[in-house]
Amino acid sequence: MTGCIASSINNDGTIVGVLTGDGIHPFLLKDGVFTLLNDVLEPGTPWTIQWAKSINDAG
Amino acid sequence: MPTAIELDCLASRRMGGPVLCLVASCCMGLLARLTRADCETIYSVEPVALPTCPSGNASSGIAYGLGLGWHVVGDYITCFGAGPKAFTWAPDEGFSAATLPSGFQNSIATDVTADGQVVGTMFADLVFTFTPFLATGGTAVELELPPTFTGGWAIAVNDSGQMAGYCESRSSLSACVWIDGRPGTLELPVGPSSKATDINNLRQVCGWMGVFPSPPWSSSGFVYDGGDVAVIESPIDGATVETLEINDAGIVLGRLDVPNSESSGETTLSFTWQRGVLTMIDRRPA
Repeated sequence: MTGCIASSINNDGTIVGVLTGDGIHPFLLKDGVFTLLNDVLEPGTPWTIQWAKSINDAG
Repeated sequence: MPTAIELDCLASRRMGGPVLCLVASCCMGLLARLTRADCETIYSVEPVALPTCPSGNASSGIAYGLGLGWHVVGDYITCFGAGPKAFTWAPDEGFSAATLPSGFQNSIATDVTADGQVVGTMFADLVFTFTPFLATGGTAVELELPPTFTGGWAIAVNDSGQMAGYCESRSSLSACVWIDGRPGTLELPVGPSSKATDINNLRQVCGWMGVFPSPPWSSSGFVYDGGDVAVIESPIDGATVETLEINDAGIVLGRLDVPNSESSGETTLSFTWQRGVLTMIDRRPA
Protein backbone atom coordinates (compact mmCIF):
# COMPACT_ATOMS: atom_id res chain seq x y z
CA MET A 1 0.00 0.00 0.00
CA THR A 2 1.88 3.03 -1.21
CA GLY A 3 -0.65 5.83 -1.00
CA CYS A 4 -3.06 7.26 1.53
CA ILE A 5 -5.99 9.45 0.54
CA ALA A 6 -7.51 10.77 3.74
CA SER A 7 -10.95 12.34 3.49
CA SER A 8 -12.16 13.54 6.87
CA ILE A 9 -11.22 14.10 10.52
CA ASN A 10 -13.54 14.55 13.49
CA ASN A 11 -13.02 16.42 16.74
CA ASP A 12 -11.37 13.52 18.56
CA GLY A 13 -8.86 13.13 15.71
CA THR A 14 -10.28 10.01 14.10
CA ILE A 15 -9.56 9.99 10.37
CA VAL A 16 -11.20 8.13 7.49
CA GLY A 17 -10.07 7.66 3.91
CA VAL A 18 -8.59 4.99 1.67
CA LEU A 19 -5.23 3.30 1.38
CA THR A 20 -4.06 2.71 -2.18
CA GLY A 21 -1.38 0.78 -3.98
CA ASP A 22 -2.69 -2.77 -4.21
CA GLY A 23 -6.34 -1.88 -4.52
CA ILE A 24 -8.52 0.55 -2.63
CA HIS A 25 -8.90 -0.09 1.10
CA PRO A 26 -11.21 2.19 3.10
CA PHE A 27 -9.81 2.78 6.57
CA LEU A 28 -10.51 4.36 9.91
CA LEU A 29 -7.50 5.64 11.88
CA LYS A 30 -8.03 6.14 15.60
CA ASP A 31 -5.35 6.53 18.24
CA GLY A 32 -2.71 5.43 15.75
CA VAL A 33 -4.48 2.18 14.87
CA PHE A 34 -5.65 1.56 11.31
CA THR A 35 -8.85 -0.45 10.87
CA LEU A 36 -9.78 -1.63 7.40
CA LEU A 37 -13.51 -1.03 7.29
CA ASN A 38 -14.39 -3.97 5.09
CA ASP A 39 -12.92 -6.22 7.81
CA VAL A 40 -15.37 -5.00 10.46
CA LEU A 41 -18.73 -5.06 8.72
CA GLU A 42 -21.65 -7.00 10.11
CA PRO A 43 -21.43 -10.67 9.17
CA GLY A 44 -23.49 -11.45 6.09
CA THR A 45 -23.66 -7.89 4.76
CA PRO A 46 -24.02 -7.76 0.96
CA TRP A 47 -22.07 -4.50 0.80
CA THR A 48 -18.47 -3.75 0.06
CA ILE A 49 -17.23 -0.32 1.03
CA GLN A 50 -15.34 1.54 -1.66
CA TRP A 51 -14.56 4.86 -0.01
CA ALA A 52 -14.98 6.44 3.41
CA LYS A 53 -15.85 10.07 2.76
CA SER A 54 -16.73 11.73 6.05
CA ILE A 55 -16.86 11.07 9.77
CA ASN A 56 -18.86 12.92 12.38
CA ASP A 57 -18.17 13.45 16.07
CA ALA A 58 -20.15 10.35 17.00
CA GLY A 59 -17.51 8.30 15.20
CA MET B 1 -29.86 -9.59 33.84
CA PRO B 2 -27.26 -7.88 31.70
CA THR B 3 -24.00 -7.08 33.37
CA ALA B 4 -22.89 -3.49 33.74
CA ILE B 5 -20.53 -3.72 30.82
CA GLU B 6 -23.25 -5.18 28.65
CA LEU B 7 -25.47 -2.25 29.56
CA ASP B 8 -22.70 0.13 28.53
CA CYS B 9 -22.45 -1.69 25.24
CA LEU B 10 -26.18 -1.60 24.65
CA ALA B 11 -26.33 2.11 25.46
CA SER B 12 -23.77 2.84 22.77
CA ARG B 13 -25.33 0.56 20.25
CA ARG B 14 -26.12 3.06 17.52
CA MET B 15 -23.72 5.95 17.28
CA GLY B 16 -23.52 7.39 13.78
CA GLY B 17 -20.53 6.95 11.60
CA PRO B 18 -18.74 7.77 8.42
CA VAL B 19 -20.41 8.19 5.09
CA LEU B 20 -19.32 5.63 2.60
CA CYS B 21 -19.48 4.91 -1.05
CA LEU B 22 -20.56 1.38 -1.78
CA VAL B 23 -20.49 -0.94 -4.74
CA ALA B 24 -24.04 -1.15 -6.03
CA SER B 25 -26.51 0.89 -8.02
CA CYS B 26 -27.28 2.74 -4.81
CA CYS B 27 -23.79 3.97 -4.23
CA MET B 28 -23.98 5.83 -0.95
CA GLY B 29 -24.60 4.78 2.57
CA LEU B 30 -24.16 5.52 6.20
CA LEU B 31 -21.93 3.31 8.28
CA ALA B 32 -23.42 2.91 11.74
CA ARG B 33 -21.16 1.78 14.52
CA LEU B 34 -22.52 -1.12 16.51
CA THR B 35 -21.06 -2.49 19.68
CA ARG B 36 -21.68 -6.17 20.22
CA ALA B 37 -22.32 -7.70 23.61
CA ASP B 38 -18.67 -8.73 23.72
CA CYS B 39 -17.77 -5.05 23.12
CA GLU B 40 -16.19 -5.73 19.73
CA THR B 41 -17.00 -2.83 17.37
CA ILE B 42 -18.56 -3.69 14.05
CA TYR B 43 -20.38 -1.57 11.50
CA SER B 44 -23.68 -1.90 9.69
CA VAL B 45 -24.42 -0.29 6.34
CA GLU B 46 -27.53 1.81 5.82
CA PRO B 47 -27.86 2.57 2.09
CA VAL B 48 -29.10 5.98 1.00
CA ALA B 49 -32.14 5.49 -1.22
CA LEU B 50 -32.18 7.93 -4.14
CA PRO B 51 -35.17 8.73 -6.37
CA THR B 52 -35.26 7.00 -9.73
CA CYS B 53 -35.50 8.54 -13.17
CA PRO B 54 -38.99 8.29 -14.72
CA SER B 55 -37.45 5.95 -17.30
CA GLY B 56 -36.59 3.60 -14.47
CA ASN B 57 -32.86 4.21 -14.54
CA ALA B 58 -31.12 4.14 -11.21
CA SER B 59 -29.74 7.38 -9.84
CA SER B 60 -26.14 7.95 -8.94
CA GLY B 61 -24.81 10.26 -6.31
CA ILE B 62 -21.91 11.42 -4.21
CA ALA B 63 -22.00 12.13 -0.49
CA TYR B 64 -19.79 14.97 0.75
CA GLY B 65 -20.84 15.71 4.30
CA LEU B 66 -22.21 14.12 7.44
CA GLY B 67 -23.61 16.03 10.40
CA LEU B 68 -24.07 15.13 14.03
CA GLY B 69 -27.80 14.95 13.35
CA TRP B 70 -27.16 12.00 10.98
CA HIS B 71 -27.78 14.19 7.94
CA VAL B 72 -25.91 13.07 4.84
CA VAL B 73 -25.55 15.73 2.13
CA GLY B 74 -24.28 15.54 -1.43
CA ASP B 75 -25.58 15.56 -4.96
CA TYR B 76 -27.35 13.07 -7.18
CA ILE B 77 -28.18 12.70 -10.85
CA THR B 78 -31.41 10.96 -11.73
CA CYS B 79 -31.53 10.93 -15.51
CA PHE B 80 -29.03 10.81 -18.33
CA GLY B 81 -28.13 14.36 -19.29
CA ALA B 82 -29.52 15.89 -16.12
CA GLY B 83 -27.40 18.08 -13.90
CA PRO B 84 -26.61 17.40 -10.23
CA LYS B 85 -29.16 18.13 -7.52
CA ALA B 86 -28.27 18.76 -3.89
CA PHE B 87 -29.88 16.40 -1.40
CA THR B 88 -30.17 15.75 2.31
CA TRP B 89 -30.84 12.30 3.70
CA ALA B 90 -31.21 11.03 7.24
CA PRO B 91 -32.32 7.61 8.48
CA ASP B 92 -35.39 8.96 10.25
CA GLU B 93 -36.24 11.69 7.73
CA GLY B 94 -35.48 10.02 4.43
CA PHE B 95 -34.44 11.79 1.25
CA SER B 96 -35.15 15.39 0.28
CA ALA B 97 -33.86 17.50 -2.59
CA ALA B 98 -33.04 21.14 -1.96
CA THR B 99 -35.54 23.73 -3.20
CA LEU B 100 -33.63 26.27 -5.29
CA PRO B 101 -34.37 29.92 -6.07
CA SER B 102 -35.84 30.75 -9.46
CA GLY B 103 -33.32 30.48 -12.27
CA PHE B 104 -31.25 27.66 -10.77
CA GLN B 105 -31.69 24.04 -11.80
CA ASN B 106 -28.51 22.41 -10.47
CA SER B 107 -26.86 22.27 -7.09
CA ILE B 108 -24.27 20.46 -4.99
CA ALA B 109 -24.35 20.29 -1.17
CA THR B 110 -21.02 19.89 0.60
CA ASP B 111 -21.53 20.38 4.35
CA VAL B 112 -24.22 20.36 7.01
CA THR B 113 -24.47 21.63 10.57
CA ALA B 114 -25.67 19.62 13.54
CA ASP B 115 -29.11 21.22 13.16
CA GLY B 116 -29.37 20.56 9.43
CA GLN B 117 -28.31 23.82 7.74
CA VAL B 118 -26.72 22.95 4.40
CA VAL B 119 -24.19 24.81 2.25
CA GLY B 120 -22.99 24.32 -1.29
CA THR B 121 -23.26 25.84 -4.71
CA MET B 122 -25.89 26.08 -7.43
CA PHE B 123 -25.96 26.97 -11.11
CA ALA B 124 -28.31 27.24 -14.07
CA ASP B 125 -28.46 24.76 -16.94
CA LEU B 126 -25.61 25.36 -19.39
CA VAL B 127 -24.30 28.24 -17.27
CA PHE B 128 -21.35 27.18 -15.18
CA THR B 129 -21.18 30.22 -12.94
CA PHE B 130 -21.40 28.84 -9.44
CA THR B 131 -23.46 30.69 -6.86
CA PRO B 132 -22.98 29.87 -3.16
CA PHE B 133 -26.05 28.94 -1.13
CA LEU B 134 -27.22 28.27 2.41
CA ALA B 135 -30.27 26.04 2.80
CA THR B 136 -32.38 26.04 5.94
CA GLY B 137 -35.33 23.72 6.15
CA GLY B 138 -34.55 22.45 2.66
CA THR B 139 -34.86 25.84 0.93
CA ALA B 140 -31.68 27.34 -0.53
CA VAL B 141 -30.98 31.07 -0.57
CA GLU B 142 -28.26 32.77 -2.54
CA LEU B 143 -25.31 34.06 -0.51
CA GLU B 144 -23.98 37.54 -1.09
CA LEU B 145 -20.63 37.94 -2.85
CA PRO B 146 -17.97 40.57 -2.19
CA PRO B 147 -17.78 43.40 -4.73
CA THR B 148 -16.16 42.46 -8.08
CA PHE B 149 -16.77 38.72 -7.58
CA THR B 150 -19.18 36.91 -9.83
CA GLY B 151 -19.49 33.44 -8.33
CA GLY B 152 -18.48 31.14 -5.54
CA TRP B 153 -19.05 28.08 -3.41
CA ALA B 154 -19.79 27.80 0.30
CA ILE B 155 -17.86 24.61 0.94
CA ALA B 156 -18.10 24.31 4.73
CA VAL B 157 -20.23 25.59 7.60
CA ASN B 158 -19.62 25.44 11.34
CA ASP B 159 -22.24 25.01 14.01
CA SER B 160 -22.63 28.80 14.37
CA GLY B 161 -23.58 29.10 10.70
CA GLN B 162 -20.25 30.69 9.72
CA MET B 163 -19.22 29.54 6.26
CA ALA B 164 -16.01 29.17 4.26
CA GLY B 165 -15.34 28.53 0.60
CA TYR B 166 -14.26 30.57 -2.35
CA CYS B 167 -15.35 33.53 -4.42
CA GLU B 168 -14.58 33.66 -8.10
CA SER B 169 -13.67 36.53 -10.37
CA ARG B 170 -12.77 36.43 -14.03
CA SER B 171 -9.12 35.74 -13.30
CA SER B 172 -8.84 33.83 -10.03
CA LEU B 173 -10.36 32.17 -7.00
CA SER B 174 -10.17 33.79 -3.57
CA ALA B 175 -10.75 32.19 -0.19
CA CYS B 176 -13.99 33.59 1.23
CA VAL B 177 -15.86 33.44 4.50
CA TRP B 178 -19.40 34.43 5.37
CA ILE B 179 -19.79 35.65 8.94
CA ASP B 180 -23.33 36.57 9.98
CA GLY B 181 -24.17 36.23 6.31
CA ARG B 182 -21.69 38.91 5.23
CA PRO B 183 -18.99 37.85 2.75
CA GLY B 184 -15.32 38.66 2.98
CA THR B 185 -12.10 37.53 1.37
CA LEU B 186 -9.06 36.38 3.37
CA GLU B 187 -5.78 38.29 3.11
CA LEU B 188 -3.22 35.58 2.35
CA PRO B 189 0.53 35.75 1.64
CA VAL B 190 0.60 33.45 -1.43
CA GLY B 191 -1.40 33.82 -4.63
CA PRO B 192 -2.90 34.61 -6.95
CA SER B 193 -5.55 32.02 -6.12
CA SER B 194 -6.82 30.56 -2.88
CA LYS B 195 -9.65 28.45 -1.58
CA ALA B 196 -10.93 27.91 1.96
CA THR B 197 -11.96 24.32 2.53
CA ASP B 198 -13.21 24.24 6.12
CA ILE B 199 -14.09 26.38 9.14
CA ASN B 200 -14.20 24.99 12.67
CA ASN B 201 -16.27 26.09 15.63
CA LEU B 202 -13.45 28.44 16.75
CA ARG B 203 -13.70 30.24 13.40
CA GLN B 204 -10.28 28.94 12.30
CA VAL B 205 -10.23 28.48 8.54
CA CYS B 206 -8.04 26.11 6.52
CA GLY B 207 -7.42 26.08 2.81
CA TRP B 208 -4.80 26.30 0.09
CA MET B 209 -3.21 29.20 -1.79
CA GLY B 210 -1.05 29.34 -4.88
CA VAL B 211 -1.22 29.02 -8.64
CA PHE B 212 -4.32 27.39 -10.02
CA PRO B 213 -5.39 26.18 -12.50
CA SER B 214 -2.52 27.12 -14.80
CA PRO B 215 0.15 24.43 -14.86
CA PRO B 216 2.46 23.84 -13.19
CA TRP B 217 0.04 24.00 -10.27
CA SER B 218 1.77 24.85 -7.03
CA SER B 219 0.17 25.44 -3.69
CA SER B 220 0.70 25.78 0.03
CA GLY B 221 -1.81 25.18 2.77
CA PHE B 222 -2.90 27.80 5.27
CA VAL B 223 -4.69 28.20 8.56
CA TYR B 224 -6.32 31.61 9.03
CA ASP B 225 -7.07 32.49 12.64
CA GLY B 226 -8.39 35.96 13.34
CA GLY B 227 -6.07 37.61 10.84
CA ASP B 228 -3.01 35.50 11.64
CA VAL B 229 -1.96 33.14 8.87
CA ALA B 230 0.08 29.97 9.34
CA VAL B 231 1.55 28.55 6.12
CA ILE B 232 1.64 24.78 5.58
CA GLU B 233 4.52 23.92 3.25
CA SER B 234 5.06 20.55 1.63
CA PRO B 235 7.93 18.53 3.12
CA ILE B 236 8.44 16.98 -0.33
CA ASP B 237 9.86 19.04 -3.19
CA GLY B 238 7.43 19.58 -6.04
CA ALA B 239 4.37 18.33 -4.17
CA THR B 240 1.19 20.39 -4.06
CA VAL B 241 -0.59 20.88 -0.77
CA GLU B 242 -4.35 20.58 -0.42
CA THR B 243 -6.08 20.93 2.92
CA LEU B 244 -9.40 19.25 3.59
CA GLU B 245 -10.69 19.88 7.09
CA ILE B 246 -9.79 21.52 10.40
CA ASN B 247 -11.26 20.17 13.63
CA ASP B 248 -11.95 22.05 16.85
CA ALA B 249 -8.51 21.10 18.21
CA GLY B 250 -6.95 22.97 15.30
CA ILE B 251 -5.76 19.78 13.61
CA VAL B 252 -5.72 20.16 9.83
CA LEU B 253 -6.16 17.12 7.59
CA GLY B 254 -4.54 17.48 4.18
CA ARG B 255 -3.05 15.77 1.19
CA LEU B 256 0.12 16.03 -0.87
CA ASP B 257 0.12 15.21 -4.56
CA VAL B 258 3.64 14.06 -5.31
CA PRO B 259 4.83 13.81 -8.93
CA ASN B 260 5.87 10.27 -9.74
CA SER B 261 9.24 10.30 -11.45
CA GLU B 262 8.65 6.82 -12.94
CA SER B 263 5.35 7.71 -14.61
CA SER B 264 3.38 10.77 -15.60
CA GLY B 265 1.04 10.32 -12.67
CA GLU B 266 1.05 11.41 -9.06
CA THR B 267 1.01 9.64 -5.73
CA THR B 268 -1.30 11.04 -3.10
CA LEU B 269 -0.13 11.08 0.50
CA SER B 270 -1.96 12.50 3.50
CA PHE B 271 -0.93 14.42 6.57
CA THR B 272 -2.11 16.10 9.72
CA TRP B 273 -0.84 19.51 10.81
CA GLN B 274 -1.16 21.20 14.17
CA ARG B 275 0.64 24.29 15.51
CA GLY B 276 3.37 24.13 12.90
CA VAL B 277 4.02 20.39 13.08
CA LEU B 278 3.23 18.32 9.99
CA THR B 279 2.89 14.56 10.47
CA MET B 280 2.54 12.17 7.56
CA ILE B 281 -0.19 9.54 7.84
CA ASP B 282 1.70 6.38 7.18
CA ARG B 283 0.62 2.79 7.49
CA ARG B 284 3.70 0.66 7.42
CA PRO B 285 3.35 -3.05 6.78
CA ALA B 286 2.51 -4.99 9.96
